[in-house]
Amino acid sequence: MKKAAAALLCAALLLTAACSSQAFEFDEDAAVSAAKDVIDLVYVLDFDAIYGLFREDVRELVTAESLEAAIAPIMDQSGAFVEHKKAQAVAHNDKQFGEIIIVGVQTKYENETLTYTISFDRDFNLVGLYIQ
Amino acid sequence: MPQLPALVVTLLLTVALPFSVIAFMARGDKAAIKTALLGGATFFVFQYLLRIPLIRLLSSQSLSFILFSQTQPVLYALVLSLSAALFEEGGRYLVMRRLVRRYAFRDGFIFGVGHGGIESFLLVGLPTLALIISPMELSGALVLISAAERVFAMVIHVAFSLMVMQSVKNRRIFGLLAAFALHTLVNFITQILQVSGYPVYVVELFILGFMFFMLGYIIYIRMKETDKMKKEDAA
Repeated sequence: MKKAAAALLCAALLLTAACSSQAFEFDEDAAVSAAKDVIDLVYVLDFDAIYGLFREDVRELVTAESLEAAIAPIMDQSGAFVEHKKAQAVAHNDKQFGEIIIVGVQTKYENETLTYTISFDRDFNLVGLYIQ
Repeated sequence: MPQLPALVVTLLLTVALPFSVIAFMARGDKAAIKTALLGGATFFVFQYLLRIPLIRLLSSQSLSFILFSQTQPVLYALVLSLSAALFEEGGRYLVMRRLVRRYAFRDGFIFGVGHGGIESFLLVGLPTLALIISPMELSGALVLISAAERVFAMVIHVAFSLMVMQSVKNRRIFGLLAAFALHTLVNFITQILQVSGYPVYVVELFILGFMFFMLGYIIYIRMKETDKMKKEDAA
């Protein structure tokens, strides 16, 4: 039983270490601020501006129209912006996009709280936008 | 295969098959029916009411968990697999220890069919019914693959139930630990294959192979019990 407990503790420590290590150094405040700028554009439904923030290679994968089709119905239901609640950013080496910074932001609206997962490259070009 | 026949076959495999197996094996034995219901209730309570809402809550409310899932896909798959094994095998052990009174092969078998049966009904049977009522464009082959996977899973659940039942019956922890480790392993490998982009048939072939491995264990336990009964009869 003691061996099993020790093994579990080691596994938990390894997991914690793996989760907490950043892939590279970055300015977390700047990343969160850039993410909040994207969220502002989402709120005013400026899909051309959001499209313009995407990195060139990613622009080939999306269009302003496809962004509108995916995002507008979510924003229609969410209501007026209230406040940003929590924000957190991590650095990650991605197979497809290379070195990226992923920012999670919880934003409260009148009707619901949305969680944004927004990814940037090291020059803060947008490479990913996910809303749930 | 066209969609409607595929949906009907899927309903037969995911709803009618487990009910038929339980009805055939129980044959009016109320204790056996209760054991099957307890198996189903174990999945419903420990997965459907506890684990799945917990994972959903973490995935929508915890930024750390969301970012962890994005940046550590392998560890994330491990966490999901460990939690599934913990809730399902832990639940199975608790229910068998506290509420099941008979520990014969048939009881373990029928408990597993109840567990796997309610899982296949909730995860595939109900969505299939919804598809029949309001049809959507969907590949018939894909529907059949999901039905086949539930049948493989049901056999695997029977084996896990027998393992845990051996553990409860003999008061030895090994069966529970083996079920926990194998449950984690099969879920983890399945998820890694999916995350790595392997085609769906490769994933299903892996689950099929694992099902045959577990079928070997079911046959072994059955033969062991038959031998024991023969020896007792001879004595």
